[in-house]
Amino acid sequence: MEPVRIIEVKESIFANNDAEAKRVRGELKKDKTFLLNLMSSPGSGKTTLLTRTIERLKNDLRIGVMEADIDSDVDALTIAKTGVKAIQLHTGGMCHLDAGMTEQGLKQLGTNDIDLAILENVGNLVCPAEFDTGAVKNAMILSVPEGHDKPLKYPLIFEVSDVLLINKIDVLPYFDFDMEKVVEYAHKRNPNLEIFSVSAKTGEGVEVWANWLRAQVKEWNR
Amino acid sequence: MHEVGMLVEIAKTVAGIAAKEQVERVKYVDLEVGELSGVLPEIFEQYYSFVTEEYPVLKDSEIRIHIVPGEALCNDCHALYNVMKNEGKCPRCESRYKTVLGGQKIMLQYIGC
Repeated sequence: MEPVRIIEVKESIFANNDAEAKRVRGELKKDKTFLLNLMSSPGSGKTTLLTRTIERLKNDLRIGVMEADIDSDVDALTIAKTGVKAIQLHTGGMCHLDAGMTEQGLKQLGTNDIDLAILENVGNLVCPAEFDTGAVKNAMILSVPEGHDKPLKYPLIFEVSDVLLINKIDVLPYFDFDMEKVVEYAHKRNPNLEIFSVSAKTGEGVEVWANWLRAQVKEWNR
Repeated sequence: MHEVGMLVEIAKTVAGIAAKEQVERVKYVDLEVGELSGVLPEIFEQYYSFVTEEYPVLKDSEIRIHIVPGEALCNDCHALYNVMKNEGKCPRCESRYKTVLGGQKIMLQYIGC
């Protein structure tokens, strides 16, 4: 039998992506651009909340948005109406973005004149959590109709997020959504998780979240 | 689809190492899959040849999967148990609060060439 040469690797399959993400973050620091990775399930209100957030920040910050979807450009068109730069990234069937794809998107967006770049990741609570995109902070949205048990079911995304936005609080009276429980479950997964309750529809709570984000951007770009 | 994205990462990593080590043909890839990593190992096996088609160095190679059990320590009664077999609940005191000790990762272990 032909001898086999064995190469010992012993590293996580995400090691390459993690290294690439670290490099992307280094570049962003040099360019004075803050990248926010926004994750959630489909229909949680990412694009609507983003529109409201942009309205409150666009006078202080130069904003660029990357919309990642498997297909279509409806989200990029919605964001472009707010007057900020928006591009659409197609993942070619993939359920997430990795650091390499994010870097290409950032190049296309052009980070020289951008203070805050926002990546709207593919709507999915599983895969995006596994791939570091190179973002400075990870934010996730959980909307009231999805239920307060999600931190128990999808632990990883709660562990890798820095911020949890509980959206659609205007419909709380119609759902058995327990706000205390969701905070308890989420903090069990990640004690450092910042939690904001918002309604993209009525605007409630959006100011507090937007102020938090503005402070983070200013700190990073100093 | 979840697994396919990971397979692409694996193929890229292995092809990169093969190039660096001046390997012409990879025979097998040993992958350790944790029981709690949230993937189906069968899908890795099923789609491996499809994903590696684009990498000549991986042509005709096989993926060999080793499952790592997901063990946890109960935070309430300190019992050691297998998470999958007990559906996430401590068999002694029924608590769900636990510290997972292993079986969450997907590790590339060896490349045979």
